[in-house]
Amino acid sequence: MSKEKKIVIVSSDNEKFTVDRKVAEKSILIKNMLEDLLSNEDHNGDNDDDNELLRDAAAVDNNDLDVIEIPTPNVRSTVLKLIIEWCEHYKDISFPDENQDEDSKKTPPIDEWDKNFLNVDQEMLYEIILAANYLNIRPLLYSGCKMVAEMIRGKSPEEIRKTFNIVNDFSPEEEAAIRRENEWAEDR
Amino acid sequence: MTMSLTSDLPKEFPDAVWNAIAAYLPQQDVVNLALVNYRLYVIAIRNLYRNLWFKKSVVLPNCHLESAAYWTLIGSSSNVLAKKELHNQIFKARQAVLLQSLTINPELLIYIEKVAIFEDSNSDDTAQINEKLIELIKGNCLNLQSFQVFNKNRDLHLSDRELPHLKKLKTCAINHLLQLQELPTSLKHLHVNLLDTYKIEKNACLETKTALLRLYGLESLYLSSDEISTLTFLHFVINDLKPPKSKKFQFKTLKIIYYHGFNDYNATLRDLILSFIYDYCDLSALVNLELVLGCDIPNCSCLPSFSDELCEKGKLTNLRKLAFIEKTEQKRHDFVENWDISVGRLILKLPATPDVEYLSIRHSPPPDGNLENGLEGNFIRRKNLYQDVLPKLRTLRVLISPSFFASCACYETITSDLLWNGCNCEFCSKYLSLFDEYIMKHFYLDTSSGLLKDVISPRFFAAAANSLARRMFTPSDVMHNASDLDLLSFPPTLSTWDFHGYSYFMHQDGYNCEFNQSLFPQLAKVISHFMDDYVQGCMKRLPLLSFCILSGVYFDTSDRHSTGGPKSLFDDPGTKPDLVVKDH
Repeated sequence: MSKEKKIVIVSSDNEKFTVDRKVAEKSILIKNMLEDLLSNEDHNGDNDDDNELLRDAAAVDNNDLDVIEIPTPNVRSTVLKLIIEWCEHYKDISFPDENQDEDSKKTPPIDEWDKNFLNVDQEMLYEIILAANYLNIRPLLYSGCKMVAEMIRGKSPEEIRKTFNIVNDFSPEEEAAIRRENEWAEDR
Repeated sequence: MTMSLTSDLPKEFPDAVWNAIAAYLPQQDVVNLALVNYRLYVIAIRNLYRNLWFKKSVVLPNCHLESAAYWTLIGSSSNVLAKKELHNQIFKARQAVLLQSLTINPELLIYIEKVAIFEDSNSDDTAQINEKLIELIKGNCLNLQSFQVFNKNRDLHLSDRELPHLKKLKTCAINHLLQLQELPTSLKHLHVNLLDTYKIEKNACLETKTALLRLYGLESLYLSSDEISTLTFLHFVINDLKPPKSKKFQFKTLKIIYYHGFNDYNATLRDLILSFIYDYCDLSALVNLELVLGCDIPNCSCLPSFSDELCEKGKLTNLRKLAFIEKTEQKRHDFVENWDISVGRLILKLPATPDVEYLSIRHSPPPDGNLENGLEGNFIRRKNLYQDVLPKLRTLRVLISPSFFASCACYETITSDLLWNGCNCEFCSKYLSLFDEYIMKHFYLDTSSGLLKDVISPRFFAAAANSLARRMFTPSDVMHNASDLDLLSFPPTLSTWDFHGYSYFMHQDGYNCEFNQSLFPQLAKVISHFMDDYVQGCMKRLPLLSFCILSGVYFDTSDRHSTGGPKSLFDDPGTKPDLVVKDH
């Protein structure tokens, strides 16, 4: 690629956020998209894109405005704003590669900052998790999952159902059978 | 967290997200999750059955380490006052129920990927592992990736019959050479702990080509600290398999023993080791290195020479994890100081490039803390040595010494100082005087003289140190396939002491003794306060240190701003561990 392009991420409600490439690339989805896009451009874009988002992004780019717009059709602007804030905060930190050994995989770096950052209402936490999953930002996803795990800790099955609005679809017999099946693992 | 109206969004979480959530839950919560609804049952049981470990203990309460959520423990009772019989009973019952569940619902067998079996070095424990259950797992879990037995019971290990069927197996141990040819091609990490060494001569039918191919495919080779096993294995590899010197093994992880014993009895093994690592291995590929080191010959310089040669010839430019284990029969300060000097020398001579992040140092102090020449000045010299050496490892994030407090207990001035002039906090002031009373009212049997003697601070704290250290791999585990490179792979388990029995501690006749296991957490806290200073010293010298474990006492050392000091994770009941604790 010849010169640095401006990257604009567009939320589902059409709000636009201009970010550094380094920040945007915290999302592996966007990172791969940009890499494909920019390498396609270098090769005159004669590759077939089977990725709809990529085509959308490319279409904007073809206007030669040196701007790449990336739509995120299922992320609301309020959520996207937070996600970008997270990516800004970690822009200079490289997270362990997924391909590395298990040790590193077990240690997504999470700190006090993440805990405070995710101290939002439940609905927002869930939206951040879904967005992080969609955008493939694993460290953020894992931090969010840890927060949800913390909400489950020490709760009975009924309390978990209430917390997450889940309906019990077991018959009493099935429930008893599962209890027996896993009895070996219960605290005693 | 602010509470809001219950949201429906969690129902939209894809399975991958729920899986990630379940992976952070401790065992009991996963059991509860399985009872919520069918969708979460499917997710929960995959997590519950994926990684099983057998150990007659329980995970330390409030353990938020990721390793605690990673493994599902088949353990004993969490009641600290429970008698041994109850622990045995519960341990056996858990295995029997698991066997039943796996028999009734064989689908569960496909979820099992890792199995680890620990031996309780304090008892004739091997008989307590349900062999039928292990047979069932070994014969039917086709997704098994890792099968580790930290135990000398050969019946528990994978046999030649089972090995070839486990197409996904990545980690296992072999206990006789014939198994080399049976290893599946997927195998990456091999522990060699040969038990049937006498049969080797007759193994003419061994497929040497296949065996060599399997060795070349390995990423990790852990040679047992059992000398006969390593001697047999290396002799076989070098003389029978005859790997070409032009094609060196590219191990990323290597565990080896280098020990100089009395009368030079093991000269052949040392030669084989040197030949193996320098002629047949590309040490520059090493990422993780575990050395079982020792020299019991007075005035011998073999250890410093070994250190020098390893750094010069080895070109250890990629090292990330280092573990040292002291092997010695000596109970004298000068031997251990020489050992420290050799280790320090090795660390100082490492190439400047590698980013060592993990260091474990395990000494072998006498279990009763009775070290000859255990004088304060000697202690200070050892302390100064590590103070000078450790800052070389600028990138160190994890520092572990399973034997740290047991080593301190060998220097009477240090432990007496701890007891009588130690930490001045309200808690320590209260309990230290109680432990002082314990010492005054108790005897122990001195095995060397056969006499009953008054308990003194080194004996008392040595016993406490050994009990604390059993939260992690014990020296016996490390002898049997466990690696100090993996000390963070398992969460700490509960290990207590009832202040009696161990080394024949007993109280005076007529003394109304109320010391029992329920007081052990207080003892652990007092010890953690003592070690706090040392951990702070490490934090000062190692800017990236985020985790430090000394004798089974876990310190989070990542917070250098708000509180500024190390945080004891399990031994200071006043401080509740945070939501997330970094595992390595």
